[in-house]
Amino acid sequence: MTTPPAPRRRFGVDFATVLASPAVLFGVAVFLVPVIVILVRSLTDPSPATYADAVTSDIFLRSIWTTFRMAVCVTAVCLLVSYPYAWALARGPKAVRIVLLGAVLLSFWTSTLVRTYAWQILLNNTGVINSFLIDSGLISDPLPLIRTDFAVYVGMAHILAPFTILTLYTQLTSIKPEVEQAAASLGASPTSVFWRITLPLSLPGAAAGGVLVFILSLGFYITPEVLGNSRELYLGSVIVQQIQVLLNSGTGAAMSIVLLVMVVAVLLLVGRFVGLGRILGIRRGDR
Amino acid sequence: MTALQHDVADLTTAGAAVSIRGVSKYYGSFAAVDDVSLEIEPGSFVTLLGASGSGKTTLLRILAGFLDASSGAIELDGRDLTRVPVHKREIGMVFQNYALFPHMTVQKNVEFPLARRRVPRADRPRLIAEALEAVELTGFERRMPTELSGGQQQRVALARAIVAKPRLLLMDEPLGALDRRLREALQVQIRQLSHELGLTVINVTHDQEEALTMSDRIALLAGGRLVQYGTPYELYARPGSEVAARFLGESNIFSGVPRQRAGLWEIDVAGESVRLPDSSTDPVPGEQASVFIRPHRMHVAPAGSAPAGEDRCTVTGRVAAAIYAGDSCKLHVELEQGDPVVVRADSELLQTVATGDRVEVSWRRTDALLLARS
Repeated sequence: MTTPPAPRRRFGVDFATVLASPAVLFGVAVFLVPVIVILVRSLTDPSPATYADAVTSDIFLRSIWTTFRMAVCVTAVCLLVSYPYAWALARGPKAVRIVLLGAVLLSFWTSTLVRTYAWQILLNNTGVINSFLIDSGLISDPLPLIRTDFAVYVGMAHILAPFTILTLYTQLTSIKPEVEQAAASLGASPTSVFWRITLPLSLPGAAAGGVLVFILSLGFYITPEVLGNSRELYLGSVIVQQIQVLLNSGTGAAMSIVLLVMVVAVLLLVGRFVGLGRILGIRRGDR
Repeated sequence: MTALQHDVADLTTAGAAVSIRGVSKYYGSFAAVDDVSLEIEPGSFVTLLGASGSGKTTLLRILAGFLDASSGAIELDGRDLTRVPVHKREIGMVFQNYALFPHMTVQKNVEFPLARRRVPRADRPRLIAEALEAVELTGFERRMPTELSGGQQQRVALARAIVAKPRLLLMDEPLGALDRRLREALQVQIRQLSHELGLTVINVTHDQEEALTMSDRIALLAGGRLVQYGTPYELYARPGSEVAARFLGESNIFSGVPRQRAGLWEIDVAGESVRLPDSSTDPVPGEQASVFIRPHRMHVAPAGSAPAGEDRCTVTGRVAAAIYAGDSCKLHVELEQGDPVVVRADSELLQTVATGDRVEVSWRRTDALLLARS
């Protein structure tokens, strides 16, 4: 037996590592350093007591509840709306698919700010919907649409639905048509094929999209601020208030870290069931 | 009591008679399947054979109910299937890519058709066990499809397709994704199983060897049309047309205008006048005709040493290529005129004949066959 020649290495670094290093450095500088800065700030500005301030703050604790409730509702709405949409996108006739894909991508590429203010224009007391209803004589006083949970949920769902639509679409297109045909040939009616084959096989996509939307909505700031009720504060607003209004940047940093920990906890919890790689779009191949 | 009530004593079943009557499938003005009619006997194994684009898969999908025929009818034991949706056709189907349900265990996969057809829960375990035993996968019940090899997956698919005792088993290139050794083993296994269970099987393949070894009958399709329908022997030994002769096995085909001399028909091959075989169908005088000879029926010998005789035809030529293939060898022989011929012989021949040699190619007159023009 001869030993195979050792791969050429200098300083234990191979070529791929060299190639990847600028990206790694960029990632560390842009993503990791700010988190460390916030972490340090939360512990030293002025002292770790900021965490005590954060978790004993009534406003903060209430905002956690408000925010989680909102995130659950928005995720549910996104999934319910996205499933039929993604279904049509994956299985519909070509013309329908092009229109639906164009619509979702156009919405996806439009700034969150623009879409939020668009909802404001629609939902205002003097907005499009209320003006129309009053002008047509159906109601005399404007409906309370803006500054409600309803407005926040609708706006958030609209902004975040592309994530669930696209993950569900990807999942649905990965189901081989033969699998559904096999089920039909084995005696399953079209509804039975859907409930027993298509739906279970699309669940990983729903879970991935759902977790993505849930986590994104926990940290949303602009949309709840513009469309929401000022008495019902969301996490993002409370943190901004600490830093910009009350100038307690240490407490704000501590709150951010608490939010981060909660996000990581949710990810780990769901990751146990779905697989983190799937949610983050990393696949180790199908087999 | 419905037709779905099962006699669960065992998996044997009375396969259905299938009647395909003038089925066509048009895409615009293009006919993917063009007026195909076939009568399939109960319990027989029929292969739809053809190159890609021949319409064989389209025809199978029409039989399964995934596609509607543009015209024509399909009957199962005399019952018109045209308006019956896929899930009520009582068929089993095996796909090239197995199409197992990836989120279910082997057990659940095989149980699926039983549950859909409302077989009583108490009867299911025995049927599942029997089906898995039939494909030699006992003990794999709790595995997931991804934990199985390709051959095992296809055997699960087979068990799933037969467990509910379908009237008709459809197979769409079931062995296409498997390697050669496995394919041959499964060919034998599927063939035995279908016979033991009395299944009517319609199998689609482009692999002529698979068609020849597995089938009771082969339906050869080309360009959407049925070229020939017969036993493997009939198709191989007596192809009814040039298309059939060229598709199944290697063949040498000579064409020319036959002449009649002294009551016998002759045709010019490479400048030699070659007597046509006696045939039930006489050629039409003045019209092109073709004869075909299988390469292994031809005999090659160094020039001047070909066996002579009243019953033999001989032409001369030069060896253009000699290909060694273990037990046999293949010679390409250029004739003085016309297309080269291919000869298959025992590889011992290469001891006496080499590339460039002048040789005589001869064959028994009865080994040549007159082909219908198509």
